[in-house]
Amino acid sequence: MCIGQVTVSLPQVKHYFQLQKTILDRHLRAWKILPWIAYVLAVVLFFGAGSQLYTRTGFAGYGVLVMGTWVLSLLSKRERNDFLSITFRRPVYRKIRLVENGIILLPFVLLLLFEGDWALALVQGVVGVAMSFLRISSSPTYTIPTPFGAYPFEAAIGFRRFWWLIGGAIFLLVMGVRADNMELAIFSYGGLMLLYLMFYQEPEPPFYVWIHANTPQQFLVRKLTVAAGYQFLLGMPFLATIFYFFPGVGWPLLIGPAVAALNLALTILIKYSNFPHPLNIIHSLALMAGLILWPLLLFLLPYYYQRALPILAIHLPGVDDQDHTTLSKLS
Amino acid sequence: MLELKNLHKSFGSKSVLKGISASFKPGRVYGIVGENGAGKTTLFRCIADLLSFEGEILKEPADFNHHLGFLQTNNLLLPMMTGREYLRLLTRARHQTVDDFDQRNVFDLPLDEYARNYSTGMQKKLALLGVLLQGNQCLILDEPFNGVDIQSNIIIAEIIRELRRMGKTVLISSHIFSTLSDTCDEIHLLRDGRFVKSAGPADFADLEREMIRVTVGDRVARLGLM
Repeated sequence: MCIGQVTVSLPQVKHYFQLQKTILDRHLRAWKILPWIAYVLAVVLFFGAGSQLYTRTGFAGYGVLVMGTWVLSLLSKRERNDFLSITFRRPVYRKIRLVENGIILLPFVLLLLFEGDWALALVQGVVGVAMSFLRISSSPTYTIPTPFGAYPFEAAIGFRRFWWLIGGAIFLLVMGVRADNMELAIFSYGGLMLLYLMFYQEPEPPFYVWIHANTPQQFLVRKLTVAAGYQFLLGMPFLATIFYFFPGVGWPLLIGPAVAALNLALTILIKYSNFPHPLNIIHSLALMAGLILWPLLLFLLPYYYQRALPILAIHLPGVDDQDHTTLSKLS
Repeated sequence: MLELKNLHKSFGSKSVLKGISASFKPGRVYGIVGENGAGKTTLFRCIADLLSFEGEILKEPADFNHHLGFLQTNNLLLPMMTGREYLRLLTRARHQTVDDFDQRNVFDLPLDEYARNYSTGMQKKLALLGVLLQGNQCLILDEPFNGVDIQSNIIIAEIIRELRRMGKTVLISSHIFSTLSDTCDEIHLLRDGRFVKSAGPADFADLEREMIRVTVGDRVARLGLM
C-alpha cells in the first residue's frame, strides 16, 4: 500500500515542481533574463552575501537562520496551503510541502554547514520540517496592536505581518549590548531598516491611490512624510540604545537614519513609478544600488520622482479633468 | 453636475458601452438596472476615471472627483488592516477629520478587528460607511444592497433618502428592482451597452414589467418543468 502510494504520488509531485519551474522561468523571461543566468547569479549572490555577512559579525548564523525561516513563512501561507491540500491528496500534499521547504532551505543549510554552524544548520532543518505542517493565516483573528495605526496603512500592516522579525532585531540588539558587540547592535538596526523598506515595496490596489484628493506632488510628500516619521519612530529606540551603550560610536551613526530615510524615499518613488505593477528586476537593482552606493541616490531620487508623477496623475482623481477622452487609465 | 455625452467603452473588440448619454443632478437619486455584464460597473468606473473611454463626461465643479465617493462591488480590503484604520485612511485621504468612528458606526461593526475577517455583508457595510464619512457630494454605489442583511438594507435605503435631502447626487446599481424603486427618482435600464429605457416613479411599474418580460421571456417554459 505504501509503495503503491509512492508510485502514484511521485508523478504528481514531479508535475507540480515542473509547473513551478515553468512559472518561475516565465517570470524571469518577462524580466528579460535568461533563466539559467538568473539561477547562477542567485547562487553566486547568495553565497557571496552570506560569506560577507560572516566576515562582518560573529552572529551571522542567526541572521541566516532568521532569513531562511522568513522565506519558509512565505510558503506557509494559509490560502496557498488550503489550495494545495484541496487540490492534492493528503500524502501528495505532504510530500510537496516537505520537498519545497527542503529546496528552499538547501542553500541556507549549506551556507551554515560551510561556515561551521552545525547546530544552527540542524535547527534550520528542523524548522523546515516543522513549518511544512504550519499554515499561517494572512489575517489572523487576533488584532496585533500597532503604534502605526494613526496614519494607515503600510507601516501598520508591515508591523503586524513582520512583528516577529522586529522581535528578532530586538533580540540581536540585546545580544549585541550583552556581548559588548557594537557591530551586532548596528547590524540589528540595519536589518530593521531593511525590513521597514519592505513594508513599502508592494503596490496597493489602485483604489487606495484613487481615494486621495491630492495632486501627485502632494500625494508623494504626504506618503514620504508619514513613512519617514514612522521609520524614525521605529528606529529611534535602537539608535538611542546604541548611543547609550556604545558612546564611542559618535556622530557617524547618524548617517544610518539619513541613508535609511533616503532609501525609503527611493523605495516609495520606485513603487509609484511603476504603479500598479510590482517592482521588476531593474527596480530591484536600483534599490540595491541605492543601498550600496549612496551617492547614486542623488541621481536615482530625482529620476524616479519625475517618473512617478505622471503615473500618479493617471491614478489620482481630478488632476487632469480637462481631457478625459485622451486619458489612458490603468485598471 | 454630472453629464455623460455619447459615452463609449470597449475592451479590445468587445464593445461594452455603446453611446450612453444622461444627466445627473444634485438632490436626486438615480438607479441603473441591468443584467450581469450589461455594463453597469464599467459605466461607474468610467465616471470615476478608473477607466479610459470615448465620448465626454462633463463634471462640475472642476474638482468633482475629489468629492466623488465610489462604493465598489468587490471591496479590496488589505490584509491586517482593522475596520477603524480603513475608515481613518478613507477619511484622511479626503482631508476629513473624523474622530468619533464609534459614534458613527451605525452598522455596529467590530472596528478593531481585521476588516478582511468580516463577512461579505460586513465588508460592504464598512466600505459604505467609509464612502459616507468622506463627505462626498456625489456617490456611486455599485450594488450597495448585495450580501447585506435586511435590517441593514432598511438603514441603507434611509441613508440614501437622507443623502437626497442633503442635495447630493447618488447613482445606485442593483439587480433587485424593488430596492431601486423604493429609493430612486429615476431609473435607467441598461441593456447591451445602452440606456434602452428611463423612467420616473410613475413609470417604475411599467419598467419592472418590461424588465421581467425581456429577462424572463420563454426561459421558464424552455425548462419543460410541466
